[in-house]
Amino acid sequence: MKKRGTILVENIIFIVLNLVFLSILFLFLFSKMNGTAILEEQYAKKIALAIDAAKPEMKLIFNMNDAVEKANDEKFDGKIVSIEGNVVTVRLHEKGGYSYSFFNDVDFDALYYYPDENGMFELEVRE
Amino acid sequence: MIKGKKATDKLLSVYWFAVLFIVAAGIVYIALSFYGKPYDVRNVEADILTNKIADCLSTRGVLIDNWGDLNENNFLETCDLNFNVEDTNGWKNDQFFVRVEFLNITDNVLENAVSAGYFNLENFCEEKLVVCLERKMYSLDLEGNSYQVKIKSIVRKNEKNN
Repeated sequence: MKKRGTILVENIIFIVLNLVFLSILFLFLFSKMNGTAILEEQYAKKIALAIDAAKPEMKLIFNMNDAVEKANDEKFDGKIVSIEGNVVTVRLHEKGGYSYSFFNDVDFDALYYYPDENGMFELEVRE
Repeated sequence: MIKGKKATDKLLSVYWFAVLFIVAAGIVYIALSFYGKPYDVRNVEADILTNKIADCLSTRGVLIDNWGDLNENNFLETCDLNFNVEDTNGWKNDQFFVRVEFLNITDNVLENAVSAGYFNLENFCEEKLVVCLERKMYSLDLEGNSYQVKIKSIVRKNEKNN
């Protein structure tokens, strides 16, 4: 009886260690896949490319749900998207942010800093 | 017999963790090399730039009326382009270059050539240190003469895409 119990404990420790090991691995992978810096880069480049391809009077709509959630997680309540000159900056946390320039020489309407309550971000292109 | 089995089990566990560690190290290496690099969007950027210039120079197969007056000073403004870039990595608005050539097909004469941006970038096309895209389109002028318009777009921005 005593021996059987020892074997069981060893097996459980072995399985738990395996699970811990795999959990750490998956946590690492998910943290890399959904990292704040990656999201900032993704959206800055997406927005810049969409602006490059846009024509005056077009309305660009981006679904930024995951970015807004990430900004909330980071307790960041500043401008998520800002455009100065021809540079788009996406910021989801206090320190950092990612900027990317676009070459299309267009203007925008004034309200482009915050996605709405559904995480949709609208940008109206002007001449 | 039982002691021997236990020893084998322990040895197996050590190998099992060694294998797990090697697999994990492989996954971590792949993840870091994949997510550690920035997304390369320069091809798309060069493509959009070329299309925008083509749209600017020709409408429904006919060249704009002032194509002959285009030069380095008025090209960017005419096509609503702005080659300023963010102040980072020592960039000084030197990340784009565009060259447009208007070749009269009938006489085989180059009638106008315009360029804008940082001209040195053209030297790096062959070594593939920058993204270069060259496209040709055919168009008529207002008098019905045929032209081949060659557009070469170059995007550098290596530090943010490579």
